[in-house]
Amino acid sequence: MSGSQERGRELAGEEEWRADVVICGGGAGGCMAARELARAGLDVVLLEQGDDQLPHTFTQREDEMIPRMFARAGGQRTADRSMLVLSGHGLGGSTVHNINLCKRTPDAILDRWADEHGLEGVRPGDMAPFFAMVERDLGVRAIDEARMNAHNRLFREGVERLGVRGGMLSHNRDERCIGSGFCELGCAFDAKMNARRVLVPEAIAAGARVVTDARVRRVLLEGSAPPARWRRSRAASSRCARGPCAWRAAPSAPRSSRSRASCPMRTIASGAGCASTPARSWRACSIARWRRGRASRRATSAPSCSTSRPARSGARGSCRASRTPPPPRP
Amino acid sequence: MRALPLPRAREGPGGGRVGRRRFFRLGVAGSIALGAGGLLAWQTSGYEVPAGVARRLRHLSPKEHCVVSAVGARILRADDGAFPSHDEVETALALDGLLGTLHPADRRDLLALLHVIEHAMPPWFGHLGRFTRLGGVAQDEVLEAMRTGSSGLLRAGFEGLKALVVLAYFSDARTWEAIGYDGPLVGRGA
Repeated sequence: MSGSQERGRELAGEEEWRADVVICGGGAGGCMAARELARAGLDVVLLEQGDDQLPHTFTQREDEMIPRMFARAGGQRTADRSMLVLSGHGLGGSTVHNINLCKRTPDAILDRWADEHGLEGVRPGDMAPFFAMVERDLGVRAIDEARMNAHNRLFREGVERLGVRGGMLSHNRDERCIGSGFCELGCAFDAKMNARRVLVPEAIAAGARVVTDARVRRVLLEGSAPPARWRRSRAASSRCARGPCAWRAAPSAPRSSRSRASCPMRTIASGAGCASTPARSWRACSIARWRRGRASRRATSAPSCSTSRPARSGARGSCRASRTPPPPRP
Repeated sequence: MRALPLPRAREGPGGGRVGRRRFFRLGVAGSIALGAGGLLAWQTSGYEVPAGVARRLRHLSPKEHCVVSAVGARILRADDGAFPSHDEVETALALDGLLGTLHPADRRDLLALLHVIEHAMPPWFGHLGRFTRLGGVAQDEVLEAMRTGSSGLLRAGFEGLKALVVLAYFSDARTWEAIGYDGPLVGRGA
């Protein structure tokens, strides 16, 4: 079975898709979730707000690439505007424009997640096979000596003389890398073994439907009607009454011609990264409060990807993200 | 015992009687209003940009262009002659182009910040007059006070504006030689 890749702005009119899982966000977490769930035999729809950024379009110019590759054109800030919060925008998310240095989460942090936050299955021993799998699939390897430049060599010499423990970092660039130094503006030479290059094709091959330029507008739970301020179209109300929906619209298309789709699903996964996933969960909790406790008990939030399963109509519970157990494996 | 004389009243324009005290208050209020109006007119006029530049502006008004130019001149001032001036590079015009890529809410914030810098920051930090009419040293003091002040919002605003000004300036190929940068690799050919 093979999936598909589409652009939201090229879809016409209103559509309704069916899926087992809708993944909101096509970055590191979302692409991996799409691949794994599709391989497990589920119907997967991956929605990414940004466009598909292809290496041959990368110009290596900051003034052109920063607005394309970063959320809110690189101007995303906290509510009080005091802190800049950079995150990726486009299929592959931040893996397209990071510098591809790969490090496993330190054991002490994994233990802390387990001890202080009650997360299950995140102990170093539990995570090791997953880290190994990701490193194998993304081609992670130690950076060779030949790529070490003068200031790195000097730094290493200093570290060794001080007796500080250290070593070479690992990265996931392949032999196409020419060391141009433009990693943070996207690799025009396509040397990055990132989510866009590795995971998306595999997810599509396993049957996932990938839609870029598709912003999730609303996530509604089964049996719910949207708040009055959301009832901007009759179609919205009627679909919401039927089941959980993920809506998308092409943000850059003219308002009158924006296409939209609803997608009843069993599970929704948020792959919006450490910046947007908590914000989305928080908004979902607000919706849950509006619905007076009909939200899922199985909502959970992780740094990169979270999932929740809409509860049956009439079920009661709260959506406090940090206190709930991890989601059931599909 | 003799009674104190009552204030003399006179006929108002509507036929009502206006007391002397009320007349005095009206006079003072009118003077203040006239003064404030004049000050406002003085503060908001005199922003002129060349017609060719004004035609190419998409997001900045001529006034905002002047403020960006003034801020850019302080942030980008070069003591040696190696760097082209921000006027040569047309930094404000380049920044106008960058504004088109921003989220509308961020663009609104930035434009509002320009007005705050022009009118509110100088008196806030002890200078009379608007930013664009201050001397270079006073402008530096105002910007430095924003950068290091206690208000996180002002610090963030300054940093955001500075980032855009610097991005606009160094996006121009004329600045690259001075920093030893020979430009993007793509598009150079074999």
